[in-house]
Amino acid sequence: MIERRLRISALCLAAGLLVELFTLFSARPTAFLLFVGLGGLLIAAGIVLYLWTLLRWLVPRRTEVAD
Amino acid sequence: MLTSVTLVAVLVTFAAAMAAAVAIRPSITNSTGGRIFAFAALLVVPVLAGTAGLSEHVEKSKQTEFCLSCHVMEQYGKSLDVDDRSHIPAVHYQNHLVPADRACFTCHTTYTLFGDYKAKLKGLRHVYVQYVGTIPTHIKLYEAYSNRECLHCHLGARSFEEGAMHNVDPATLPAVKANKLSCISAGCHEAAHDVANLSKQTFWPEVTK
Repeated sequence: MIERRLRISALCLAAGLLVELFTLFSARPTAFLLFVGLGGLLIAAGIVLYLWTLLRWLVPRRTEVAD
Repeated sequence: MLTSVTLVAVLVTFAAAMAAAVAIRPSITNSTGGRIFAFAALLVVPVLAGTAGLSEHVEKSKQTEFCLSCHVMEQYGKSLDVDDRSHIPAVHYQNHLVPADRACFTCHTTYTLFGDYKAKLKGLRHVYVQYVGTIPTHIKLYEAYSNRECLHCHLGARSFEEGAMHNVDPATLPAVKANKLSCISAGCHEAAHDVANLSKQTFWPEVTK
């Protein structure tokens, strides 16, 4: 389950970064919108999913230590 | 020569490659080294790459080319080439009194995407109108043009402080500096982007374009 989440997170990030890469060389408002609207959204989604996965992985470990 | 956009592109490519490596083999996180790699690939490096990309895009949005890429701004771009010294934007642009590649931003520092968050929201609305909405036939500024945009270069300059017309009445300069008398008032420097009369104008044959 964790590996699946990590894979989705990494795919979101890679896709978002590729969008960023393709828009980087254009000086047009559409490129800016695409970067923020699609690239930014994918990057943010990837990071949030990774942090959530990390949290889900850390919390049970802390419980185990407490037990 | 390495430009900033090239460096950002290298960083973004590197970040994408690291993320792709985790996507291909998420099982690397079973080891401590793999977990550190994943932390860098899925958090640290993408944040750095995203921030660098955003910064690069914001810098690009200050370029004259960026503003004039919208069809509605074409006439305003053309007004920069008017062959008439009384046209304030044209004389500034043609004589490089403002950086030619940042001509719009230099005189409209608080406008839409260049200003605070409220201005940026207006800028996003402009982009929406450009591609989805109905573009108005007559474009006007949201607020009266502030002298601040002129004074950040002219204030303290001898030509401004000792200008004959500026000193005919001793009340003129203080009023201009306090933004109570607009620089582009009627009878002063009123010819700014006179797009309605562009067809009557002659244009400077700019060789650098």
